[in-house]
Amino acid sequence: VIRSATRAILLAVAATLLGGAAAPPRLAIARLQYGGGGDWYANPSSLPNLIAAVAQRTSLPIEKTEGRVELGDARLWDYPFLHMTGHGNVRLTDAEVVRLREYLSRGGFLHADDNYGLDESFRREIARVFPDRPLVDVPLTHPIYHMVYDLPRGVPKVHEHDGKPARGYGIFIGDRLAVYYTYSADLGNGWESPGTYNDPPALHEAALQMGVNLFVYAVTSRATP
Amino acid sequence: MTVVELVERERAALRRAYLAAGLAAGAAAALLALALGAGVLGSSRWMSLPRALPFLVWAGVGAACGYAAWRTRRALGHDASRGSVASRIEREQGLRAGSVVGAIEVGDASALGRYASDAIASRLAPTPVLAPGARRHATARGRRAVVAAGAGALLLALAGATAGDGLAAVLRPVDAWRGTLLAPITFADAPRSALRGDSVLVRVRAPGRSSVTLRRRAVGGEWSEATVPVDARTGVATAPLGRAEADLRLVATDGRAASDTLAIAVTDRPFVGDLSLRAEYPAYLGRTGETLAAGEPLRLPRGTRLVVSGRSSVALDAIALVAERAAPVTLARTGYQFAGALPVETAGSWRFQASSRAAARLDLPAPIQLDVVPDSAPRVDLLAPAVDTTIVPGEPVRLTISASDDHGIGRVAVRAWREQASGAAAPATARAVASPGAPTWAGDAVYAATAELEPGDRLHLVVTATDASPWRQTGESRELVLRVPTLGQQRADVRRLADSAVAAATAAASAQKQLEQRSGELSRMRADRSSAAAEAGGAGSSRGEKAASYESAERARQLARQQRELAAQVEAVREQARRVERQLKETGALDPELSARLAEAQRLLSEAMTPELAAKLQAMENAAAGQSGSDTRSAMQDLAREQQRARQQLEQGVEMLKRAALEGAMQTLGADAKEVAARQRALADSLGAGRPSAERPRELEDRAREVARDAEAVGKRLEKEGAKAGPERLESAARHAEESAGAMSRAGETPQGAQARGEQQQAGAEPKGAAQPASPKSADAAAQAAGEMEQAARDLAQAREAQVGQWKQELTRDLDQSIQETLQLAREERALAEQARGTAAGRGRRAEAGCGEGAGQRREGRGARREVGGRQGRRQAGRRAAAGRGARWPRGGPAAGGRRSQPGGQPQSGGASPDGAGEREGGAGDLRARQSTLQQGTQRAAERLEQAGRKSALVSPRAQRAMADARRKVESATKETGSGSPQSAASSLQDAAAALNQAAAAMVRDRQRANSASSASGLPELLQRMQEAAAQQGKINQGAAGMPMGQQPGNGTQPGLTPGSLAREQRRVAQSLEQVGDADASGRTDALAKEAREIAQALDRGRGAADPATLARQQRLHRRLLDAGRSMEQEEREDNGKREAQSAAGNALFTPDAAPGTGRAAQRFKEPSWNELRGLSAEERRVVIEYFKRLNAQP
Repeated sequence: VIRSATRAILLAVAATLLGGAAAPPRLAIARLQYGGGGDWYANPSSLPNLIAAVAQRTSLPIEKTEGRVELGDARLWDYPFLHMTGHGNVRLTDAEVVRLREYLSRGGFLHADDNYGLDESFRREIARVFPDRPLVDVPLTHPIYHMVYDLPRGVPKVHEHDGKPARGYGIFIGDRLAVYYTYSADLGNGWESPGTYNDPPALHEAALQMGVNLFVYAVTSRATP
Repeated sequence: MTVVELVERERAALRRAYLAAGLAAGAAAALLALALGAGVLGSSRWMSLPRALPFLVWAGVGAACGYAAWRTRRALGHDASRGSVASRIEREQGLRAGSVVGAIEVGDASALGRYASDAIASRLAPTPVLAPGARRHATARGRRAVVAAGAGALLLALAGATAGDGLAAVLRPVDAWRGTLLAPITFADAPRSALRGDSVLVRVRAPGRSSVTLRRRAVGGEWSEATVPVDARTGVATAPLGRAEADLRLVATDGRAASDTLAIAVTDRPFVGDLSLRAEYPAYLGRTGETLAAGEPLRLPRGTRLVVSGRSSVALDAIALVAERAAPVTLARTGYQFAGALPVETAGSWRFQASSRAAARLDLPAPIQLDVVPDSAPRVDLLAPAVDTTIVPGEPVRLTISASDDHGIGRVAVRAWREQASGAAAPATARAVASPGAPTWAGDAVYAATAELEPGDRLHLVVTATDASPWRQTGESRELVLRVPTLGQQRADVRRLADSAVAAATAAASAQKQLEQRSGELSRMRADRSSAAAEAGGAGSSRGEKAASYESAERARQLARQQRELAAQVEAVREQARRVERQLKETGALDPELSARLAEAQRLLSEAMTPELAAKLQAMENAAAGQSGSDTRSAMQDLAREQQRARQQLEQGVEMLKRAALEGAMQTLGADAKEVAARQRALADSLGAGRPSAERPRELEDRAREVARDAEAVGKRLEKEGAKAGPERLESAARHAEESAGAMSRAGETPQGAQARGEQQQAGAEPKGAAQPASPKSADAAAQAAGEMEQAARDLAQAREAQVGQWKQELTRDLDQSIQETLQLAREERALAEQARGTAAGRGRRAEAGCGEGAGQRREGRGARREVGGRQGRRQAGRRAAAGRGARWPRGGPAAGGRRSQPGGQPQSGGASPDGAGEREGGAGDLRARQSTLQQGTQRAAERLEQAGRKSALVSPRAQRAMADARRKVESATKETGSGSPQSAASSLQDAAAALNQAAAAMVRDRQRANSASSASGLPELLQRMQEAAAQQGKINQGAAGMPMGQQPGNGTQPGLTPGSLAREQRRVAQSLEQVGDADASGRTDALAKEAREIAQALDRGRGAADPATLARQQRLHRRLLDAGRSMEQEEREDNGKREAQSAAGNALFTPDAAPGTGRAAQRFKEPSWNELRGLSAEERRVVIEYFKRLNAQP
C-alpha cells in the first residue's frame, strides 16, 4: 500500500511538473542594446507603458518587464519583438548584422523608432542587414494600422521635427513585415509617461494604440520554422 | 681577153694589194707615233716637257706616214709594173721566160705576135689568178700593215685612257703650247681678309692637275713657292698658309697656266668689351642693386634682373645673349654701345652672340656663367598632432600649422586621402585653409570630414602652402597618418587614456596639495615677520619689513602663476575625462552608470577651479603688489581656504575618475572578451562545417592572451586600491581567457590548423576568407576556446558588478560608522550642555544663598548634591566615552587620548573646596576637557565623512555641509567652555548637539539612498527620482489646471486631488526635491525645491486654490524639472543641441501609395524619376531603367 501510495505521489508530482513545463511561454518585448554610441536607453518609461497597455488591452500573455538584449546575446530568440530607439549613432558589427538578419528571417520583428537623430545611421546599418530589400512605405492598408485599433492615417505623429510628416517604413520578407521603422513620428516619446512631455492625452493614446497593433502583428505573424 | 688585159688585170690586183698595205702601214705608223707621244706627254709631263714636243710628235707621225708612202710607191713601181707582173706570171704559170713579156711586146706588132699573144692569152685566160705568189706576198704585206695599224690604234686608245692629258696635248698641241688645254686655276672660297694672327687656309681649284705650285708673298717679304698636291678626285688643292701676320698675295700655277692673283687683307679683330653687369634684386629680398664683376661666375637669386651693358669697337648689327634651353635675350644697340636686362631664370653659360657688317668676326667677352638660386618653397610645419595618432570617426581633427615663405604665403590647404583597411586608397581631396598673404602664418585648421571613416581606415593628411611668388612654389608638410582603430584597439586605447587621465588627475591633486601647503607657509611666514617687525620697531624694522614684503610679493606671484598653470592642467585632465567618455560611447562600452560616474568626475574637476579661486588669486596678487602685510596675509588665508576646497574637489574627482577608469577597463575588457568569443565561435562553426573561415587561430589566440593579460593587470590595480570582490572575478576571467588562448593554440596546432596557420603566415596579408581545411579536432578546440572566452566575458561583467557592490558596501559601512559616531557625539554634547546648564543654575543659587546661614546650609546641601551629581555625571560621561572608545574608536576614538591628557578632569574630582569655588573651577575644567575631546572626535568624524564623500556621490554635499557646520559649532562651543560663562557655554553646546544631530540626519538620508541605490555612484537613482518628481509635478499641474478659481475643496476635477491636497502634494514634491538636492552638488535641485516649497506656501495662502500666477509657476517648475533631469543625465543630447519636444499638430500627413502591403509589391525599389536621370545620356537612362526593372523583377 505504501509503495502504491508513493508511486501515486510521484506520478502526481511528475504530472504537475510536466503540466508546468507545458504552459505557454510569456511573450516579451526587449530593448535592443546596440553599439556605436547612441542612447539605446532613451525613453525609459516607454516600453513599460507599452507593455502595460498590451497587458491591459489584449489577452496576450506578456512579460511585465522589458528585456534588454544585445544582438549577440543568446536570449535574443526569446523576444519576438525588438524595439530600438535613440538619437545617436548605431553601429553593428559584421557578426551582429548576420545575427539580426537571421533573427528577422526566422520570424523576429524589429521596431526602430527614430528619436530624432537615429535616421542616418539606422538606414545605413539596416541596408547592411538587408542589402537586397529596401525600406518601403508601409501602405495604409497594412494590418499594422488596422489589426487591433483602426489607424487610417497611419503612424501617429507625436512630436514635430522639421515640419516633416510621420512615416512608417518597412522591410518585408515574403509577405511578412519584419522591420517597421517609424521616422519623424517620435512614437517612443508618445509611449512615455504622461507629463514627460506636454503632449495631449490623445497623442499618448494614439501612440499606444499603434504600439499595441505593432506588438500584436509581431507575435501573430511570425514565420513558421 | 688579151694577154695585156690579163696582165693588167693581175697587175691591178697587185697594185690594190700594195696600195692597201701601204695605207695600213701609214696608219700604223701614225697611230704608233701618236700613242708614243701621248705616253710621253701624259701624266702632266706635257706641262714640264718642252712645249714643242707635241709638234714633234706630229712631225714623227708625218715622217712615218711618208716612209710608208715611199715604200708603197716603190712597191707599186717595182713589183707591180707590167713587166714585173708578166715575169711573175711566166714563173708562176710555168711559161717560158719571156713568153708573156714577148706576147705583150709583139701582140700588136704582128699577126704572129698576135697569135702568140692569143695563145698565151688563151692559155692564161682560164686561170683566175695568174700570179698567186705575188698576190700572197702583197696580201701578207698588207696583213702585217693592218696588224701594225691595229696595234697602233690599241696603243693610242691605251694612251688616251692612261695619259689622257698627254693625248690631249698631242691632239691639241697649240692649246698645250698656250696652256689653255685644261680648266683655269682658281681659288675656291678664298678669304678676302683675315684677322691678324688667325690661321689662313686657301683652296685652289685645279682640275686635271696633280699638283699646283702656290706662290705667295707677304707685304714686306719675297715670293715663295710651295707645291701643293691636288686631290685627283675633287681637283682641289688645300694649302694651309699659317698665321696671317700681313697682307698676302697668292698665285697658283701648274707650270703652263696660272691663276689670278689672290689678295688677302689681314686686319685687326673687332671686339665687344667694356662689359658692365649690375644685379637688381627682387623686391621681396629687400636688397639694393649692386654691380658685379664680369668674368666671374654669378650666383643670383631667381627673379633678379641682371642689367648688361658694354661697348663694341665696330657698329653692331645685332647682339644677344644666348644659352641652351633658353630663349635668347636681345640687347639694345645705340651706336657702339649696347645694353639690356637678363632675367635670372635659367642657369647656365650665357654667351654673347654679335654680328657686324664691319667685321666677319668679333672678339666677344667671355660667357656669363650664371647660377640661379631658386626661390625656396614655402616651409610648412605641422605642429600638432606631433606624431601619427588615432582618431575617432566623426571627431574633427585639429591641426596646428605653421607656414613661412620669403615671398609670403598665398594659400594654405590641407590635402587628404583615405586609405581603407583593405589597402584601397581614395582620391585625394584638397581644401583651402587660409590665404594669409603674410610671410609667416600660424594657425589652427579643423579637418572635419572624418564621419565616413571606418575602423581600420587611415586618413592621410598633408598640409600644402603655396607662396605668393610668380612661380607659385609649393611646400608640403610631413604626412600625418591618422588611424581609426578597430573596436578592439579603441577599447584598448580608451583604457590607456583613462589610466593616463587618472595619473594626470592624481598629479594635479598632489600639486594642488603642495600649493595649499605653500600658501599656508607663506601666510604664516608673513604673519611671523610682521609681528617680529612690530616688536622691533624703528626705521630698521621698517626697511626689513619692506624687504620681506617684496620677497613675499614675489613668492605670492610665483604661487599665483603656478596655481594658474595648475588650473590649465586640471582643465586638460577634464578634457581627457571627456574624451574617455566619448570614446567609451564610441566603442559601445558606456552605460548610464559609467556615464554618470564620468560625468560626476568631470563636474568635480571643472568645479575644482572656480571663479572664486581665480578671484582670490587676483586679490592676493593685488595685496602682494601693494606690499601691505595685513592685506597680503588676509588674502593668503582666503586663498589657502579656496585651495583647500579645490584640493578636496580634486581629490574627490581623482577618486571618481579612478573608479570610472577601473569600471571602464572592466567594461571594455568584457566587450573585448565578447568579441573574441564570438569570433572564436564563428571559427569553430566554420571548422565544424568544413566551411572556409575568415578568422585566424593565431590572431584569436593572441587576442585571448591580451584579454587575459589585461584582466590580470586590472585585477592587480584593483587589489592595489584595496578591492577584493573585483579581483577575484578578474582572476577567474584571466584564467578562462588564458585557457581560451591555449585551446585556440591547440586549434591552430592540429595538422590542418597548423597547415592553415602556416599558409596564412606565409601569405602575410592574405585577405580574409581564405579556405581552411576542416578538422574535427580543431573545431572542438575552437569551440572550447569560445566557451572559455564566453565565461571570461561573464566573469568580467560580474567583476564589475561585484566591485561596484563592494564599493557600495564600503560606503554604507562608512556612513554607518559616521552616523553612529555623530549620534554619540551629539549625545555627549547634550550631556555637556546639561552639565553646563546645571553649573550655571548652581552658580545663581549660590549667589542668592549669600543672604543667610540657612541659605548657606541649603547651599552646602545642594552643593554636596551637585557634587555628587557632578561626579555621577562625569562618571556617566566617562563610561559613555569609554564605551564609545571601545565600540567605535578602536585606536582611541574621538575622545580618547585628548581626554586622558587633559588635566582638567583630575584635580576637581575629589577636590571640592569648602566654599564651592573649587567645585566650579573643577567643573569648568572638566567641561573644557570633555568638550575638547568631543571636538577631536567631531573632527575625525568629519574627516571620515569627507573621505567617504570623495569616493561616492551618494555622500551628499548637504551632509558634508551639515558636518562642517557641526564641526564649527563644536569648535565654537569649545571656546565658550573656556570663557567661564556656563550659560553661554550651555547654549553653544546645545547648538553643537543640534548641529551634530542634523548632520547625522543628513547622513541617515544618504544611507537610505545608498541602500536603495543600484550603483555606487547613485546618479542613476538621482535621475530616476528627478523624473519621479517631474511626473508628480505634472500630475499636480493637471489637477490644478482642472480646478476653477476659488473652487472649494472637494470640487476638483482630478480624482483624489483637492485644493488642500494640492498644497500637500506640492510640499511632498518639495520634500522629495530637497532629498534629491542632497546629492546634487550643483545646487540646481535645491533651487527647485525652494521653488516647490514656495508654491506650496502660495497654495496654502490661497486656501488651496491656485491662482493663474501660481499655475504658471507650477508649469514652469515642471519644465525645469524635466530639463534638470536631462541636464543631469548629460547624455548625447548635449552634443546634438537641446532637444525641444513639441507636440505634433497633425497637419502634416503622408499617405503612401495605395499598393498592397504584402508580397513583392512592397519590395519594389522605386525607379528613379526623370529629374533624377536628366543628367544622363539617353543610353545611360535606358540602362538605369532596365537595371531597376530587373531588380524589381527578381523573386
